[in-house]
Amino acid sequence: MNDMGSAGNAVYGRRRIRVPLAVVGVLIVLLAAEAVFAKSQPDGVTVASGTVITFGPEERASVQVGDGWVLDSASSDVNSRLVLVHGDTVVQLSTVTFPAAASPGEMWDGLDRLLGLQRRQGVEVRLEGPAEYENAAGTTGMQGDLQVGDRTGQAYVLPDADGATAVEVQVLAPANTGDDERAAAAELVDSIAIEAAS
Amino acid sequence: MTVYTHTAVPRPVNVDVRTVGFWVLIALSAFGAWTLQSDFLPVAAAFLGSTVLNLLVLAMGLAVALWLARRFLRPVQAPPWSGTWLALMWGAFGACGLALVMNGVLLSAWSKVLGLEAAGEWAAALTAPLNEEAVKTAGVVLLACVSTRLVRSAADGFVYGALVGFGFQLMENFTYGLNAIGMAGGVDPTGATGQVLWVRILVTGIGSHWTMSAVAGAGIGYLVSASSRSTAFRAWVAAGCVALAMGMHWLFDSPLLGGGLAGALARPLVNFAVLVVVYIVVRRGFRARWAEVAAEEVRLGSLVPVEAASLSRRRSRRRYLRSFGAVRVAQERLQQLELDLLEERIPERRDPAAAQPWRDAVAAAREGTLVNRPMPVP
Repeated sequence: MNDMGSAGNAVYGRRRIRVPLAVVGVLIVLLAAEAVFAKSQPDGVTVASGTVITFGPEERASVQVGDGWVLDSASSDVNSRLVLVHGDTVVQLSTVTFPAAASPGEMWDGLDRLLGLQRRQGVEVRLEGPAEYENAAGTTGMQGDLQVGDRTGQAYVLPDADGATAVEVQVLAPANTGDDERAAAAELVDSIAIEAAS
Repeated sequence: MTVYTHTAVPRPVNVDVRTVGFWVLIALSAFGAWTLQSDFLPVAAAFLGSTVLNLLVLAMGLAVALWLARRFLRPVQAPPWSGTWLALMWGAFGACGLALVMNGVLLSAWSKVLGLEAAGEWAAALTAPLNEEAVKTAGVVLLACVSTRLVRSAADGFVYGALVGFGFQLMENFTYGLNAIGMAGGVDPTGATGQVLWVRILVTGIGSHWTMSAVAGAGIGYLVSASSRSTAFRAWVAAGCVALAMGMHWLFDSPLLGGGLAGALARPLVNFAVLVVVYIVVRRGFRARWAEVAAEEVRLGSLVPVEAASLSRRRSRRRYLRSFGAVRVAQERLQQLELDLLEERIPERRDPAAAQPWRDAVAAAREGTLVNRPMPVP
């Protein structure tokens, strides 16, 4: 009696147990296969000294990478964010596009607002400043000291000429990080440039 | 004592809570909801203006989705509410939450495999069509396991696929609305959320998730239908529909057709065009079968020709009922029973005798001896 002729669809009888379990099995296999595939790839890629990486919307932002930097590929997306690692020092460069042209004060407040998400989760976060900043590439913006948990460093907001987009940089390292690594990070930030929208 | 013979209204179960399929839907949706709240609840709590705007847009989107799906996407009559809510729940929580986990794994791999530049262009197109279409399609398969009544034709699969897609799209809009705050550097959070929602609803909304999963769902509906075609044929059709849905998603996420506004408009329009073609094919098949069984029931004496002619379209049903004036309520009940009878006859391989309780109910409604539940009448 309990067959296709009385059931009205093909998932009847024992299939009503087997099919949903098979669906779960397929999803687990798919997820496991993807995890194995991702694990089989190296976590980071060593970037050749002197390489210029362009990133952000229309690749209008660029950074020149010095010696000893590793690109954290898993955390990086050329359209929005680069994560570069040098020993214990992590530099995160994010491109942001403001809903409307923003003033430097609004940009800094926005950065503080985003860091507030970590404060709400109980992480100790301190952002000081901002002070005016101009790097060696001639890009101007703001700079301030940053502490997230037990890591310290600097935050930068480097807007384009229109104030419509910006590169936000967070340099963080353990307190006992050597001067070499901090100098390498400073050199990296010094090379950041951002073009205005055409 | 005089004993009258009365016939009860057949009340089949659309959602059987005693099935594995139902509890898999619930469990995976709960897991998906937990995943989503872990990622987005802190942001939603921190940016209340964005959250309120997001919720308002979500509520409006839900109203539009329900109206579209229930009014237009299934021929003859809307799917039952129980199935409608289950499909939306799976799309919003189960599918969206699972996709969040799976995409997180696969997206991170592409930068390593393809390099930063190529991954920036192609990572989404290589990830979302596989993961998101898989989890959305899984929802339609699970709905087919919840009872043997929810998904019994390609038309059922189409509308439930669309509902799963709408659920997914609404939840994804919500998460993108919150992600926009970070992408705008925390400046004017509500404005940033509004801009993203504006684009995702007015520019890409017409050809986003609901179109893709409706196409895949039509294939699943055809696969599980009691069609006269062989299992192998139905499996190939289903695989073709799922592949087409993945192709639509790939096009949607790929850099093909160019960037900028033109590309952003063209991609959803292509998907919408594919949806319309699939809808026409599905609707034609459903209507042909409907006409066939309606003619059979007229021959069997269950329906009179004028009723059968009025049943297949909402407007003609309303027009038919209007002609009854004061006795319209009774006629409306009879009409619903006739609709239920023909719905029972849609699966081709279903024994016509299995619909006898509905024939009896129609006959009893004509004679005035129908009761709402089986009980002896003194």
